[in-house]
Amino acid sequence: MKSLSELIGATLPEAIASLPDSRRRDLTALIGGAKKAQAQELGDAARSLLDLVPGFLRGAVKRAAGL
Amino acid sequence: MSTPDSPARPALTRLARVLAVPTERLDYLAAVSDADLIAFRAQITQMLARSQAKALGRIAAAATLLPAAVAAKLLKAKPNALLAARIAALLEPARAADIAKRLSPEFLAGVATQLDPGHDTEVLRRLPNDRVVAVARRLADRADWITLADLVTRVSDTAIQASIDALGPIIAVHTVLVVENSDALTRYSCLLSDAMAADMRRAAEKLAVMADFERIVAQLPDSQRYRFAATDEHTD
Repeated sequence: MKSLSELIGATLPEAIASLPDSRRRDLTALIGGAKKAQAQELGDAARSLLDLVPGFLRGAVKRAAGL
Repeated sequence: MSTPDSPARPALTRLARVLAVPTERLDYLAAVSDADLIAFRAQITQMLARSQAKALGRIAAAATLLPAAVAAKLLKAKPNALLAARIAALLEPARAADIAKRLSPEFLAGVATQLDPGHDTEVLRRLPNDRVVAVARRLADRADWITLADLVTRVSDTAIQASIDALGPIIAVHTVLVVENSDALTRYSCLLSDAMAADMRRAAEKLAVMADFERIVAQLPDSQRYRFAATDEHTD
């Protein structure tokens, strides 16, 4: 599992960096969960929208979307 | 002190929203300053944006192939506030605004909850006043003061004034209590009429949030602060 700063990819604010390990691990899990949930939601939503694209545009739209 | 329905720590609530958890879940961050919470939230939203950039870029490219009316129709058929908010940030602002004005205030209120407070300003400034007011009203109905504050401090000057006039002083007080950025707070204040500023003071008394209200007013520059003074202190 990545550390909090590795997951964020930046130098954390001092007050966050100095939290106890258990708190930083908790934040890492929450952020990782949010990242995964958003990616899933965005992917599902995009696919459901593509299914509704009018037929004459569907091919071009799917190609542009990389699907 | 805060109102019963306004968050005690808006910066903590905004962070909790990004993580999709109740604010109480982050109680262990209570001692962290607002500035550090805001900086940390910005780091998280930037990381999320980086992780989603490739996929969203492709979806945005595909969206540009659709006429605005068709894109709006799709979003009405399969509404998803998160996707709409992310794509809006990537589209050309005029096009994003063209799509947005075709969507219901109820849906746009949901989209507003997903906007990154640090971005999307150009799109929001292009929204018609009546649409901003309608969305602001939905957010006020939900007592979602944070999203309301993030929205009405980033729209056009005339849209801010229209929303203030439409929603009244009590809602304006709820709004200013959770505005995050002092520049945005000053801009909002500058757009208030003297009468509305006085009405807001009375509303703050009625809401029993005078201490919080005074704390917010104290952040304003001198040129604005006097407008919120008690009547016997107010000199024109």
